[in-house]
Formats: sequence, C-alpha cells, structure tokens
Amino acid sequence: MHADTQNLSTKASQKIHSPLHQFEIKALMPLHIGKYDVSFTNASVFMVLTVLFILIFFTGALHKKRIIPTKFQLMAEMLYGFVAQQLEETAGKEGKIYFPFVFSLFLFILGANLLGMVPYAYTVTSQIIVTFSLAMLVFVVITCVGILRHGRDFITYFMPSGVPKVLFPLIVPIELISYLSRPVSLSIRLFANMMAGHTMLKVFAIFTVVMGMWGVAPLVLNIVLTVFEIMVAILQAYVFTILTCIYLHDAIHLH
Amino acid sequence: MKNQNPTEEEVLSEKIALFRKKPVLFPQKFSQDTGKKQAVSFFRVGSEFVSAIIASVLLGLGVDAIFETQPFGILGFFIMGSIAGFLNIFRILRKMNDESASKTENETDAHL
Amino acid sequence: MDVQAAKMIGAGLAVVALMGVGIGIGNIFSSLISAIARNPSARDQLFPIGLLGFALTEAVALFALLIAFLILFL
Repeated sequence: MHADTQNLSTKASQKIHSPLHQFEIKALMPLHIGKYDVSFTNASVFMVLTVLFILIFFTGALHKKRIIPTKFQLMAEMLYGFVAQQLEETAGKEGKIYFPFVFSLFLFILGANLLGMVPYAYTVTSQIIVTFSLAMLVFVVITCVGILRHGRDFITYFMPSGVPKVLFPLIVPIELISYLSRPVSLSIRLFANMMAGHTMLKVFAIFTVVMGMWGVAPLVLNIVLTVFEIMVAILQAYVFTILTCIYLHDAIHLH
Repeated sequence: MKNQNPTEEEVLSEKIALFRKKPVLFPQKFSQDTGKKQAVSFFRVGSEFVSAIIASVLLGLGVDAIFETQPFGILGFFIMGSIAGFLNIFRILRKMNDESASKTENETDAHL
Repeated sequence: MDVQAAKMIGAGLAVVALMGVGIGIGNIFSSLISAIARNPSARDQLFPIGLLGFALTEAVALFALLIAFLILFL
C-alpha cells in the first residue's frame, strides 16, 4: 500500500512538475576544486548569457554612433541617461565617479530579470545566493568607499549626533546591526519578488493544464500576470540601483 | 533657399522646429517623480524590518556558537535587531515626511 | 506518517498566518484610501503612516514565510 501511494505520487509529479521545479540547479559540467563544488550549472549559463546579451546589445547599438540615433542607440542612451540622472540626484556630484559600478549592476540585474521572463529560461536572480553575492558586493564597495574617504571618521557614522554619551553602548550595536542588515534586505527583496512572481506564474500555468477547457480563465490571468511580472522585473532592478545610490550617498557624506 | 538633398541634421532640426510649434501635450511637468519615489519606499519598507531581525539573529547564533552562551546571545540580538528594524523604518518614513513637508512649503511659497 | 509529509503539512499550516496579514493589509489600505478621499490635501502626510502599518503587517507575512522555509528545509 505504502509503495503504491509512493509510486502514484511519483507518477503524478512526473506528469506535472511542482511550481518550484523551475528553480532547480543542474550541474552541466561537474567540476570540483578541493572540497568546493564549482560546477558549471544552468544558472551559470544564464549569467553568461545575460552578460553576452548586454555586450551584444550595447556594441550593436553603439558601434556606429550617429547624431540622429537609431532605435537601439536611443534605448542605450536612455538607459545611460536614466541611471546617470538617478545617481546624480541621489548621490550628488561626488557620486559620479562610481557610475560604471552602478550602471553595470543595474544592467546585470535588469538583464537577468528580463531574460528570466523568456519561457524555459532560468531566472538567475531567483536564487538567494546570487542576489546575496550582488548585495555583498555593494556592501563591501560602500564600506570601502566610506573608509577610504573618511578614514577614522567613518566610526562616527555609527554614533549619531545629539545622543547623550551614556546611551552609546546601546546605540552603537543597534546602528551596527542596522548597517549590517542592508545587504540582507537588498538581497531578500530582489530574491523574494522574483521567486514569488515566477512561482505564481507557474502555479497558474499548472491550473491551465489541469483544468482542461476551463483553463482559459487562468490563461488570461497568466497573460496579465506576465505583464505585471515584467513591470516588477524592471522596478526591482530600479529599486536595487536606487538603494545602491542612497547607500553611496550615506558613505560619501556620512548622513 | 533649401538645397535639394538635405542632410540628416537638417531634417532633424526641421522636425524639432515642427515639434516645438505643436501644442504641448503635457503642460505641467509630470509628477512621476514622486510616484517613483513612493514605489521605491513601498518596496523598501516591507523587507527592512525583517532583514534587520534576520541579520541580528544570525549574528546571535554565531555568538552563541563561539562563546557557548546558549540562549542569551540569540535573545539579546533578537531584541536589538527588532529595535534596529524599527529604527530603519522610522528613518525611511521620516525622510519621506521631510521631503513632502519641504515640497508643500515650496508650493505655498510659490502661491504667495 | 512520513516525516516529509508531516513537514509539508506543518509548512502549510505555518502560512495560515497569511490570512490575517491579508485582512490587515486590506484594512490598512482601505482606511488609507477613504482617508485620502475625505481629505486629498493630506495625502503626503498620510502615505508614510499607511506605509508604516503596511511594513509592520508585511513583517508578519515574512516571518510566517521564514518559519515555513525553516520547517521545510531544515
């Protein structure tokens, strides 16, 4: 009886994948260095594809610069102008030298999010380790910027002015935790939004398959959700970049 | 007198001149800016509280593992993490409030 | 009962908390909308307060999700 039910459940799962199946990582080229598993997986494939896609788009759009832009050149220029404007608005004039970092971060996240919307593609940003690595990169860069710019004065970042010195043993750890929570919140926001969205799309796709003729209703909903997901993909890339700019501003100006 | 084969630049400047003559579609500047900012803070605020607690609980677990102070590390760090989360949210909202206050001040100044 | 099955049921039960979160967020935004409808000029002052309530309610949802993940994968 027990084996029977197990058999049945595996059969059912073969017929319809679970909605979380799309996040599975498969090693395409197994590779171990020491005790670490550094296999080339399907996630790596899509990261490489994202970078290639961005490179091809920008070289294609800008290889012949013209005064009257083509559509692709216009898109590239708009992306550039958009990020440059946001950076200058939030981080100020001094933040401009970090533009290459912010722009490549924005393009990578945007490219990965949008590439994930292609059917059968793997969404790289729905893996928490990827988003956490990106957030840690931002965190380390910002801490380095703060320390290099202010040296020892960077400690005053954790000591808010206008607080009596007696409260410092209480305030400083809290400020420190608040500072350390930045990469966590950055990574969790991106990961949760992308994963929830893709799971939802898959759930409604499963409804469409299961319900037969009545599957038209979830199909219509799925189309609407796809548009919504594309919007979320763009918005999340924007939020990530804006928060990077805000943190840069904090690191440059110390409050 | 126009020459027979206008270059691309001339065509563009003609188009720009035509476009300038057209009635303006959006007379006021779009107030998209505040919408974008509100969307950002909307997404920001949701995860800020939890992430502070997650970070502090991980720290507390680490402290417990190293110094073997079993329940106290995680308890203390949890309390401090929730205070830090509240602080995070209050900072974001205070900043929003300040911005909106300065904006309304400017508007009233313009009216006067 | 299988341990795996029990884990899945437990994770499912943990996310029941989302019911209350749904009611709460609906309540917050309905009051926010009616408040703004009564006094549209107070929009900029009301929005952050609504956002504060939203954030604290959202935190409960994320905690439930966290517990569900802990039950499932730990």
